[in-house]
Amino acid sequence: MNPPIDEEKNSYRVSKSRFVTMLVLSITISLMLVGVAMWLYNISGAAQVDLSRPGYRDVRGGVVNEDAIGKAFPSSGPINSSTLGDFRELFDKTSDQIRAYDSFGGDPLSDQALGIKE
Amino acid sequence: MFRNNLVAVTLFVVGAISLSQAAHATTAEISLTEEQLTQISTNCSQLKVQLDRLHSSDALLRVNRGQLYEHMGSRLMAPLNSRIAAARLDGAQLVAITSNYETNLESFRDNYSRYERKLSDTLKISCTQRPADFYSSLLESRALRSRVAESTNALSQDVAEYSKQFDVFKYNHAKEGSSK
Repeated sequence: MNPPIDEEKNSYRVSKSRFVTMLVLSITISLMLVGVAMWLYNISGAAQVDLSRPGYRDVRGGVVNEDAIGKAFPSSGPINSSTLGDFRELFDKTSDQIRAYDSFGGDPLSDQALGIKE
Repeated sequence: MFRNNLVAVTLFVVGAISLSQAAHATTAEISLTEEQLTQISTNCSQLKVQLDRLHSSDALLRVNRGQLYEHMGSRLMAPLNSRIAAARLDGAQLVAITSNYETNLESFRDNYSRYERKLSDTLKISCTQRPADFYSSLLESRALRSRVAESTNALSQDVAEYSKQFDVFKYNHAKEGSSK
């Protein structure tokens, strides 16, 4: 019998099992965190405005650049006829874009639109 | 006294039950003719393609509209209101309209979320095997989409109202300036 070698083997086994446990725990914790992140992603509504998801490739190019919408009105400064005129210009530009389309109007889900005859 | 309370509670419970049954009945009572069911199952793939296209185009519309609405509220209305408040001028009406606008913007986001979830669920239903369930889900999606449209109309109204109120503010400001 050689006790020091047995002890060494035993210590190797313990350290190996600790390593495996650590690995399994790390993977489990990461999976749980990914699950929580995905849940938050879906529940917050972020998923619904995320056009980088598969299935939205065709429409991705249609996203209007934020700069194209218009400039922001500075929140500090004087109130006079000139600044109010500037505001009116910026406001009209954005409100024209809002009025430009009939958002979610019409009824593309109607029986008629889908070809379901009554 | 006790008897009155008991009667009131009983009436409330009976009312609640009948209301919930009525609501359940409306969803269950979607009657489709055999012909319509056949139409749905035979044109299933075509229907799915149409719905899938609408799903994508509505997502794009949501993103673009959302950006516009955000821009109007947080980059135009709110900064002007801040300036008016900093100058100690009366902008109470403009603030009230902005607050209403923010509430309507929140319901636009919520209504769209509900609609998108329902439409995604509808797309998952097999219209060849379960045409009635598919149609029922489609009806719910339709109703939810019309609520999104209502939210956008409310936002447009707020914008129009803000515009009018801004003119009133501008007029009053000019009048005060000339009288000084």
